[in-house]
Amino acid sequence: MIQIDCPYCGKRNEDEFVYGGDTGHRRPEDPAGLSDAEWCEYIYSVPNTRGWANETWWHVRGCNRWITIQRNAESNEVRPASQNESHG
Amino acid sequence: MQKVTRCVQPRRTKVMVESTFRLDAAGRVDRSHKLAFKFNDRKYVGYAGDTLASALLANGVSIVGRSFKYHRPRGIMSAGIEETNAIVQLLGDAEEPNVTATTLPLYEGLEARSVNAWPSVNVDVGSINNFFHRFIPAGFYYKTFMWPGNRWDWYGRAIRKVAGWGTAPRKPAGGRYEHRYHHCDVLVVGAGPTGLAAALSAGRSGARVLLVDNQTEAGGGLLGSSAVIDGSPAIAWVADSVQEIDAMPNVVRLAEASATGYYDQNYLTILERRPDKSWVKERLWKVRARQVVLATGAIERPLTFADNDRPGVMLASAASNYCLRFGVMPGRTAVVFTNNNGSYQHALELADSGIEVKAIVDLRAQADAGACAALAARNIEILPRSRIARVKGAGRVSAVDVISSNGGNKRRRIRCDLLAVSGGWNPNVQLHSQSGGRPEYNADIASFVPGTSPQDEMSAGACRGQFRLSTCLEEGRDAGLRAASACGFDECDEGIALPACSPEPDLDILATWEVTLPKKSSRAFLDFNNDVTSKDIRLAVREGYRSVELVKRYTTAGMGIDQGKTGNVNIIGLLAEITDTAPGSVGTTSFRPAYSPISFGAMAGTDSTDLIMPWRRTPVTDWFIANGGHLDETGALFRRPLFIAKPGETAGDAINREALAVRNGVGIYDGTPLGKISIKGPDTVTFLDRVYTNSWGKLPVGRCKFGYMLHDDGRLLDDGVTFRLSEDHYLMSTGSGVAEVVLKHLEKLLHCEWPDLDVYLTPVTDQWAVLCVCGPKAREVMLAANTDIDVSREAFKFLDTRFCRVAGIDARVSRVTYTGELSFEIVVASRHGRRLWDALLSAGEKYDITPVGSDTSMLLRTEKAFIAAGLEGDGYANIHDVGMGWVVADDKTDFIGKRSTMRDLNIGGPRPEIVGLLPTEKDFVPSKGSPIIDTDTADEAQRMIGMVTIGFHSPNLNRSIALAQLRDGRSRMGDTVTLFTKKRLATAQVCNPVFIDPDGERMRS
Amino acid sequence: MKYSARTLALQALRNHRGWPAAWRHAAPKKSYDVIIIGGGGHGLGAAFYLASQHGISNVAVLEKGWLGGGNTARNTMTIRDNFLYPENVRFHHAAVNAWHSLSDELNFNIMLSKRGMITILMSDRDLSDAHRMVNTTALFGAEHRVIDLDELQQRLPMIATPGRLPVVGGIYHPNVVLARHDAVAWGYARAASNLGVDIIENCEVTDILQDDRGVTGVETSLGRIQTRKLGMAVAGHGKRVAAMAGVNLPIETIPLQALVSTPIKPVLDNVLVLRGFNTYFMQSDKGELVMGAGTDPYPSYSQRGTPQIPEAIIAAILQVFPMFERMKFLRQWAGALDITYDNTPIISKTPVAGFYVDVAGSGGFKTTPLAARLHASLIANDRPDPIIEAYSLERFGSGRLILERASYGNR
Repeated sequence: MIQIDCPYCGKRNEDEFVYGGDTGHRRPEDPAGLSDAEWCEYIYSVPNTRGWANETWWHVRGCNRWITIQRNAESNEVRPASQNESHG
Repeated sequence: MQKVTRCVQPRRTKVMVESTFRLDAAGRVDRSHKLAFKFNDRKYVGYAGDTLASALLANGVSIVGRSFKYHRPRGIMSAGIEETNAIVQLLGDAEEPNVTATTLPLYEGLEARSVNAWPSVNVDVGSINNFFHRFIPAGFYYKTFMWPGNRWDWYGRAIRKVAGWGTAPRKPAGGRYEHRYHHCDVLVVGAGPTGLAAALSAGRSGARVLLVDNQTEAGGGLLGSSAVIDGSPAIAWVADSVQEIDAMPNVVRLAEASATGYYDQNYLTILERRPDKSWVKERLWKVRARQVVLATGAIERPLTFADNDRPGVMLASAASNYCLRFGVMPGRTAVVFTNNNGSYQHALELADSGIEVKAIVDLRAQADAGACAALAARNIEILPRSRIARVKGAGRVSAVDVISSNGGNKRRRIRCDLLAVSGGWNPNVQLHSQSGGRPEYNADIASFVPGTSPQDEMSAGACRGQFRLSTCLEEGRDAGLRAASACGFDECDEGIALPACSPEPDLDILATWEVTLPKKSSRAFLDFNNDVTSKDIRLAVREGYRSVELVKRYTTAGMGIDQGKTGNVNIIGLLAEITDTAPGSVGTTSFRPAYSPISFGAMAGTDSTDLIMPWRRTPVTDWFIANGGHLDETGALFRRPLFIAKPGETAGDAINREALAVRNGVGIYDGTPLGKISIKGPDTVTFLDRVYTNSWGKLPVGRCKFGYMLHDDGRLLDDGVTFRLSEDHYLMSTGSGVAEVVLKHLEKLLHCEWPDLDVYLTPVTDQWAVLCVCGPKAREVMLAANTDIDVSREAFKFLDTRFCRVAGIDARVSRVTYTGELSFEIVVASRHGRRLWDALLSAGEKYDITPVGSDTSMLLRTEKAFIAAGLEGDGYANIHDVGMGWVVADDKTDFIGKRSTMRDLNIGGPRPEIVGLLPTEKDFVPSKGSPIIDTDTADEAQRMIGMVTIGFHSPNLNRSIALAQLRDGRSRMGDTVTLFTKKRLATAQVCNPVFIDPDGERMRS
Repeated sequence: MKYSARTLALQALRNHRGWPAAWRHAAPKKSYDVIIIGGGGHGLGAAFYLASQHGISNVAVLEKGWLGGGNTARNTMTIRDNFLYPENVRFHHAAVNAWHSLSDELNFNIMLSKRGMITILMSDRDLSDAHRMVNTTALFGAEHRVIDLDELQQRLPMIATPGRLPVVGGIYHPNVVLARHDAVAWGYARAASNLGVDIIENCEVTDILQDDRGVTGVETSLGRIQTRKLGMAVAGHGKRVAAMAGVNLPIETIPLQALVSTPIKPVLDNVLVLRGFNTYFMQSDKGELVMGAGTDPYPSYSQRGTPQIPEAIIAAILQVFPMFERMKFLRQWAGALDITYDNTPIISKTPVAGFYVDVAGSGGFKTTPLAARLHASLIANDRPDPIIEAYSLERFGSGRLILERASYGNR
């Protein structure tokens, strides 16, 4: 039961949130300009970082915002995302 | 009623017998409060304050169980949670398997029996295994049972019967359970001296403290100890401390509460049994602590010597604990066998309780010099450099043979009925390990101590390998202060004043992993619970299973009910000795929750009732329940009627009647579960253009439009109608089951991909009731219901939406359809839903308005080939495959899913296209998923060319129909294909999937 | 030494002092014909089949920890073929059949026990959806049968209904078997070692070396080892290891948790699946109830487990078996699954010549013998057997996935 520090609601249990993926995995600006292979790589391949990564979580049982945190996928430690990564 | 009998084993007479091993005055049991109980069908008496184990010992019961594999007789070995032998089945209303007798408080009427023994513990047929033990060493089953053929199946069944411990109760116990969330600054686990000192110090600082302990009363090891604090018995200090703690408003103390799991970010689960003043049987606490102080103490471990599992062999600390805490002599004549100084105090305590202690057999060369005088005064002989070579006695220890290397290795027999052993102490590092820490080997105590704490946690006292009382108090105090200070409570004084304690010697342990075995056939047990001997470990290593994990798995050592609490360190030590490495490099196996087992009832809490998945109602649900609605789970936790049967109707009858009514008269259904998302903001059109496949720029106010939403991988996510209610207000409807998925999809795009778009989404599913009147006579019903707008075909067109009043209720009515018929969807505030439903039913009475369920809707949409994502639109299909290409605006540069759809078109090749099927046999309904097969190909991989997505008997066409995915299906119109359904073959003709009103005249009428 | 009742008896008379090591603890040679990364069931199996079926015995298996210490140690032993998509049904049905001769092949009792599985259906919609699976699997000879409530209650007299969800019927899967998971790794290790395969424990691969013709070897914690053919059969770290060869595997690592109760006498023969709660459980030979659910809701490499999943699993079981109220939860753990977008394995060549992968089984224990054999044949012949063509890495370039998870959540 990890605890996620929501910038709007404070520290809350993970079961109030829905995992939204690695923030590095953004939708390409111009899908039409990509080859099939490049597009498929975006669709099917995620970073799957072992260690710290910026992630977005949806506080669906809370403020309904998508927030960005840093989580270590190896230890499940959580810390605030650096400011420039935040979508807040 | 009390008859005194002097024999050690009570007679078969079923009378209550007075305890014969009970001391006169000692102990903390309440002698004024007798409790009658039954064990293995015999009646006994104990006292309040006893555990089942202490009461059995008081009554002289030596054999309490049989071992797992060899069915050797076993007696009580410990006085706590680590017990591996005294595992019993509770009987009666409280039936419960695998209860540890040493932790079970005695109660009036308790009934229990031994497990794993037939017909009884004293005469157990299974003990024949003990005779054949040579043939069944660790892992023997991997080497045999393979003949004839693969017959494990057959052998396995027989072996399973003799495995297992207790039996599953046949009925629920009917207990009530709950979960409680709790937040605190400092959680202190363990209320022994260390934990009390920590809780006192942290509590005085003002921090919110939770103190939990798994025993019935606080004090830990001091409850059964002769230790002295400030000149008085230590228990007086315990009482004072508890009194102070209980008076602190900022401290919560739980007894009979075991910390069982240590999870991420200082989240611990704590099982509280028999909470005070409560109807709750057990309560599972879920605690989030800012700081955790682990004061979990240590557990004594046995020595590994031949027949160390004989009843009457007991941990030295446990023997002393039974005397001092329970006033019970675990034997009359004792020998102590040890490798450390700790046991000397226990020997004195046994002697002072009236047990004749004949000798201390010490593996070390040097005994505890400080204790010699006291021992001599009590005629206790010290035998240094000595070992137990043999344990005599079948059902119980009757004597031991001792070999002293000082005495020329001659055997000397000492009669005794209790062998108190100590192989050292294992700090309870399990919770530390669960928290992510890695225990480290400490040679000074020959055991593992906590390593670096990865969480906000500290260990103190015996669980850190500090066994001296004075050190425990000091470490406890310091840990409490540090934890409180870390939470910002640092203005406290020095916590508690450290009291003076009686002096204690160093442990001075001689690490001993296996005492020399007298014979090749001798067996010394390491894991009593799973019957693993030192020879099994040697065998495993010989066969190449060298890693501690492999040894554990090959021999099953440490995997029993006790999870290796006494055995693990001995196993690691022996493994290190055999493989010539250090115990530290062997390392521990991973400790995992639960530290002590938790009942299923407590795990589930209130979720064992309907609360496990509270279901959602609409304003009309009660009407359906009262009127024959057959409710089923239909997604998003809604329960909806599949059909509404009249008395005597089958499901098929009801569906046919409802479907005919909609096509020929008028039907009404409850569409409230449809997802609804209110959309506002200046960029709404841009947003809709990006998430739907079609264009939204030209939608006027008061109109609505059908849209298709894709995943970016091209799969169908949802379809539905979006209304434009005013200049800047849109309302999107989604499928019921996917409402939250769609909201997540849209919110994520808005927040993470397009934060520049000024659009706001609000889910409003529950705010509005949706009732839909459909069928050729729907307009008549709307008029009869006093709809206050012109509902004529010309004034109120298909896909119009209007605000008005229906039956006097403010409503929004829309010309949308899910059945292909003339339909009016009426949306009112939820609180008016039932009133509207009743009004529409009475307005429609003369048109025989028919409530319809969702199975009927499914049939009606099948007749119209309205595509369902998840059926027609599954993993393979794109929007063109399902025949919805007309909803794609080709001129848009991008929308979610466009690129993947383009990729499909780029690649080309055959596509799974949606077609209709008319089975050759008109009354044959192909079932869901029936494969369509190519009978011309022998290639198994190519044989399946399609699949029925749904099939129905259509009462309107009076024949069976189906929708199907078929490879290049649209080019096969008119072909006859072969279906494989319920293991038979059938044929069907491929046709246009829209079976009724292909031009859509009816819905526009 | 052959394992048999006779050798067991002979050894018993010698106090079992004559048993040899089940496998040789080899030190790495300078080079091998084939190196397999990953000493679990899949990797050891591939090595065994290379030696036994392709005559390639100059093979090393590199394991970074202890044999079978990954998902081989962490699964719940259930071997089943209840899939929806033809490619998967075909493969998994063949995979179930491949288990039956394994004990004999390996001369190691992997304790295959025929238990059968019952999927308990908890809504009318489940019941109608069940026909889809039954129909498709029947086409490929896999036997699954929809059973009504009466038959279900006959097979499971202790089932209580209704809890929160009704019990409306079931799917009976007679061919579901269990196998002792650890024994599979040990049996393959022993048999492969007997055929000359080097099994190298505590040897972590740190880099994959290649030249313009493809793979040339691996860098390991025990030094450099050369090979022209490299197979990878790792779980939980597949993406990271493949990345050493510059191959981007489209997988995500997600924990799958399981737990056991304290052991009790036999009460349950079948593996049971509670469709409405996405939960399954069965009773092991040792008497423990073994319980599990779907994967965790977010990716993680942590194998420590969470509190909420065991609670949810047990609450679900109590809905149907309320008499288990006083049974006890003993231990929980988690495995790290490598999961592809379509929840279907990759047994495939890669863009790097000589580098082959057998990964992302998504609970790949059940396919061990077949996947290992086909991985071996892929390595030996440099082309896939037709049955695994659909499992190629290339499908992620074309989008021709086998989207098992897109409908009807599989188990």
